[in-house]
Amino acid sequence: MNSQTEQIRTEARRLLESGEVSVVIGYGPGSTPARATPVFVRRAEDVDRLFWSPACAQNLALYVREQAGRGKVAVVAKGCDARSIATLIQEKQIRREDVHIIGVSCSGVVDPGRLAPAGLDEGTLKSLAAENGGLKADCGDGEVPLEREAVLKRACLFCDTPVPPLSDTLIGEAPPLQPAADQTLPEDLDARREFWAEQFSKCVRCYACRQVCPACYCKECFTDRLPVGWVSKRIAGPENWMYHTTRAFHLAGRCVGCGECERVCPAGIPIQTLMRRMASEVDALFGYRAGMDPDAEPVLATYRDDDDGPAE
Amino acid sequence: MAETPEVLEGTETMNGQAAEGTWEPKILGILCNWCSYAGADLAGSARLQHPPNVRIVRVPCSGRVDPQFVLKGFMRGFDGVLVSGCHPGDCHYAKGNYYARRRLTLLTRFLETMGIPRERFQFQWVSASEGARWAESVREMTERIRKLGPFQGVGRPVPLLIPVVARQSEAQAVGVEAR
Ligand code: SF4
Ligand code: SF4
Ligand code: SF4
Repeated sequence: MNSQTEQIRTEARRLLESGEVSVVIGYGPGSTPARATPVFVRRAEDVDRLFWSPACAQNLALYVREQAGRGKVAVVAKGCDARSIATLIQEKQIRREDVHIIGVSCSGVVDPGRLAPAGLDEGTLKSLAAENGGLKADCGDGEVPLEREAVLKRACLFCDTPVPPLSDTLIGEAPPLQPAADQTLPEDLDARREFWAEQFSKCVRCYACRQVCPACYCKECFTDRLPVGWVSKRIAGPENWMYHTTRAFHLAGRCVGCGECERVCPAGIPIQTLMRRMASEVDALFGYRAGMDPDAEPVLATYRDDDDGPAE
Repeated sequence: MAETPEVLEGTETMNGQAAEGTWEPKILGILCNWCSYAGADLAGSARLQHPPNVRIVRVPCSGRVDPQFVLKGFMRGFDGVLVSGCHPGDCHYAKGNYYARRRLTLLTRFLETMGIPRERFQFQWVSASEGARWAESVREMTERIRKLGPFQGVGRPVPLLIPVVARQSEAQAVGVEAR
């Protein structure tokens, strides 16, 4: 058992025994060592269901919002998850006093979908562990180091907030890692349009990207408001384009770059390339990054007299 | 759910109409009721000559302009989109245009991320007394788009699984009409 697992369990036990929270939302082992599953622990004697490993990919802020209004909850949160929680507080979806954040410093989580392309057989995987910012796996013949670039959730490679900016308990220290440089889109605008047209033509509109996103909490998504006619159910180039661009805009200044949308996409669409680009535009224009300060006004819900804009 | 099956389909773009020699820029104009629409009206009543390429949709305030309006315009194949509202400080609702400014400035940059040049999207302030300014901006934008040529559309065709009947009704449902 790694020390993070131990500390998470200790903290969960304390919180449940004292009655401070009614449930601890965390990760439990999944079907293989490369997968974790969200668990809800309600009794102190069950805290051993919780664990920590580089397989803890899900953004649990999703479940925190679903628990809103049912008393105080605790949640295990990586850097990005904590930023999602801050966003939810900013947008008044949850109250700061209703959530206890067990922050875990994170050195990146594995995307199981990338294992096979990296030459790793998930079926024979016996263990997966993080060590000094590196990764090692055991497929039956001893532990071997893994290349982070090849198996991590792509968003993790760009992450510059591995330590939760918001937490009540903090486990672990900042990993000795440097974020990778941003991916570049083609410079030529026509090539860019072509790039997106090709990517979006793969979309089957399963909406997994939306379902998994903690910021996509609208009771009625524009995609479901068919009589209004913003976008039809039809899977077609322009329709898919409309879905993705609108969703990107709805997440402007709200997406924290957790990369869950991209990880769950069955079509392998590089949604992060779109989202990161939007986030960097927001930063460049307004000096704002999503989920860094739970007390900040959401960036598009406010304005400044001297914002950039057309000439008078 | 309300029974309006027509709006489920019919999102074909207008690029088919860009036949050689007959092409004229089609520009979607989204104008705030209190300033720019009145300004455009003034241009008309003052008989100021300007190109007929802008199809105008009137909204109560530039703050009402959901970036989706603009995206939808491009999705439907407009060659350019023009959003026009009251000057900062002149908003009928005090601050709608300040919110619009944030969103639409961001949208300009986002369109470039999607590969749509910023010359195809114009966001401007025109007051009710600025009929000449309106006429000039329409002239200027129409010429600019004419030079850029027809917009090539946003999506690539995906093989259809179901037969689709081309319909106009979806555009009507959101007030975005172009013929
Ligand atoms: S895509 Fe937009 S409308 Fe749909 S759930 Fe996300 S934020 Fe809401
Ligand atoms: S859009 Fe994707 S990366 Fe951004 S918060 Fe949602 S799931 Fe995470
Ligand atoms: S998860 Fe992928 S395929 Fe499914 S709707 Fe999102 S982008 Fe499209």
